[in-house]
Amino acid sequence: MSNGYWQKILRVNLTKQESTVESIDAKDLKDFIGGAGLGAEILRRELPEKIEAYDPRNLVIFATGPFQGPAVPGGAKFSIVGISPLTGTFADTAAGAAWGPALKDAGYDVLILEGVSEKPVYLKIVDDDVRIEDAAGLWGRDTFDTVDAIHEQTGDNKLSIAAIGPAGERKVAIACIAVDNHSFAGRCGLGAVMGAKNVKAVAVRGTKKVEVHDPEAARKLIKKYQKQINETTVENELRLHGTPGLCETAEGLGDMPIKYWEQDVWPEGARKLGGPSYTEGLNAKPLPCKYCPIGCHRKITITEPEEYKYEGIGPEYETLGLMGTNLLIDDPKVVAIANDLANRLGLDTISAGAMVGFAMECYEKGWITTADTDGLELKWGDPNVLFTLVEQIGRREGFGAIFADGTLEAAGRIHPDSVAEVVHCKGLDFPSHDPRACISLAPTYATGTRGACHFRGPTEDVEMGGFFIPEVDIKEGDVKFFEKENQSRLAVECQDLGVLINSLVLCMFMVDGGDWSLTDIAGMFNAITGWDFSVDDLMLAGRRGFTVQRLNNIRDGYNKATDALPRKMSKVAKEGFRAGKAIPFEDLMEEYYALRNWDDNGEPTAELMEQLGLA
Amino acid sequence: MVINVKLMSMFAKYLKNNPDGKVEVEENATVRSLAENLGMPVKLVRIITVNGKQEDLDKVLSDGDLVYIFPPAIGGG
Repeated sequence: MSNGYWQKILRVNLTKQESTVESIDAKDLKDFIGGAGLGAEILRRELPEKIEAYDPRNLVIFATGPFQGPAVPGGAKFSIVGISPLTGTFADTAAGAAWGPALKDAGYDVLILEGVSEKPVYLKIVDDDVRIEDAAGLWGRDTFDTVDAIHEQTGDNKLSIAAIGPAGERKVAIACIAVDNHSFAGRCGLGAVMGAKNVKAVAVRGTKKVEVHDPEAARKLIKKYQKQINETTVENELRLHGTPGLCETAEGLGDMPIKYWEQDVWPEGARKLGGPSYTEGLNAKPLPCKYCPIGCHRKITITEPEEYKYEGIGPEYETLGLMGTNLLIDDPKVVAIANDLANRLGLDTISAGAMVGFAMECYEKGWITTADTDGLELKWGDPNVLFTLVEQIGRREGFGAIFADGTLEAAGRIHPDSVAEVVHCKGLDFPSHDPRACISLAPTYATGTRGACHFRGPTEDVEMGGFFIPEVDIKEGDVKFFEKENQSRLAVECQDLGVLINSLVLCMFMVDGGDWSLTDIAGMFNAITGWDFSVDDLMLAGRRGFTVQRLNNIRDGYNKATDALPRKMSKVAKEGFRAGKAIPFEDLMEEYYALRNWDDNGEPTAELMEQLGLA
Repeated sequence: MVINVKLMSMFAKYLKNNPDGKVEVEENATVRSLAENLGMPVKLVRIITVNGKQEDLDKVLSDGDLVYIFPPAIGGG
């Protein structure tokens, strides 16, 4: 084959406790590439009807693409796909560290978990040796301890391990999957689906090397782009400050959540939380995934005060937003401690921060009282409230247990009027980017196939001048803040790009930050696969993948009526960069639908299905 | 004339010795000449606002203007 794929799926049936190997048709790989696109198509084919996330028929699909074989910069990524307990529909979530290349080196492109194990297990995959091991001794342990314990038990420190924590075991709907103790498949609660299947971890190592079309060309390109991307991100300081470098800029442009999306500005808070203040105060250093020339993850050391002494991984921009400005907390050390707690429990830090903010707002409005919280006063800015609620949510204990099925479900139990205050799309809490600042995010969130997501369509970074995509005619100056022109087109192109990147699978920061062009990515892709794809061919695969994700959404009951934004997004700012500006939502959506070629119910037209070869 | 300057995120270091951000410039100075005088990498300048309104590098400044200069917004993940 020599195309960067093994063309193999490893399927593990947990009910029967057996594994099988299946082949993947080359046409499916050409159509969907891999990762989140291929995973969506597997989900569509194997689940003809809507099912609940904890139904044994749900799948957890770990999918790689052509970029996990050779040492492609930003290629140590993989996607995890399944039905989300938060949204009840298609979800994909990605992580880095070394797991994706490890699965590839073991001789598989995709791993599918199906059924339910009777008792807790973990998988150990070393090449053709696939074992379902007893995890009784691991159940209850946090994510980091689990990784260490598996290394110790097996005597094999080279295993790359994706594990859940107590939150996943207890089916907390925002449970993440932690990889090698520093990267997290965070969003959409697929950790809870692993927990429902009684799978504590998947440990993988491989000794094989997948063959590529032109190894010499691939080697040269890898060397060239490793250097180029490194130099770019040294210059723009993504390497120096990581994602926390964005805080002050994002707040200055009205893009950060402040006081659960109610407050317009908080420059001082954002300045203290983000880089350069973060980099200096937390002694932050780059922590790269395998094959990464950037190292956006942070390794931090906090030496004082005594109660926050800590050495380990530091919070990202998203967490500084949701657990920082969102809660009126301005101390990055506080966020670092809460981040570590959430990571160990195995919680998505974005949704966890959103839940705490929502609880604080409900407390302020009198919808929650100290009678509900065992006396805890849910005051804005209080670190103790953050620590306590993260722990309770992660363990499904105390007052925090009310959030175990998601913010929307909790709101229904807290107060009927609180439901409309939840800031979400499809049940997924907003990340740290505000569509009132970058209006291209309005259609992006409303139609997001996994719910409100800025990273399956990073339009905000285009609007804020971070990167451009000249190959699809998205150039500097094409979109202007608050002006409608080109915004819906930007949303469509960025969503398709998001699916493409998560199908290859590639870290988005190689493009958004590293300035790796789509033309150069196509060159890399062709050296590996030998398929001679143009940029248009790649983007078409992204569009096909996005459409199949949408078809999963349609099957699960989503349609035009659910392509909506929460009430708070109609609230116009009184001060700051977006003062007086409203989102022209109807107009943006009308144009978006026309560009997508969707019908009045939000379904792909027959013509579109034909064009994409999906009819 | 004096301009009130706010340099965001990675640009903060170009005002390290001038924490109140008051910068003396020549008459007819532009955002570009201001940025160059501060030693900033102009090619990395993206969003500029002057008195709350989005402007470009060639905007001519007036005494007392409030200027924000933003670097590329990257890392929104």
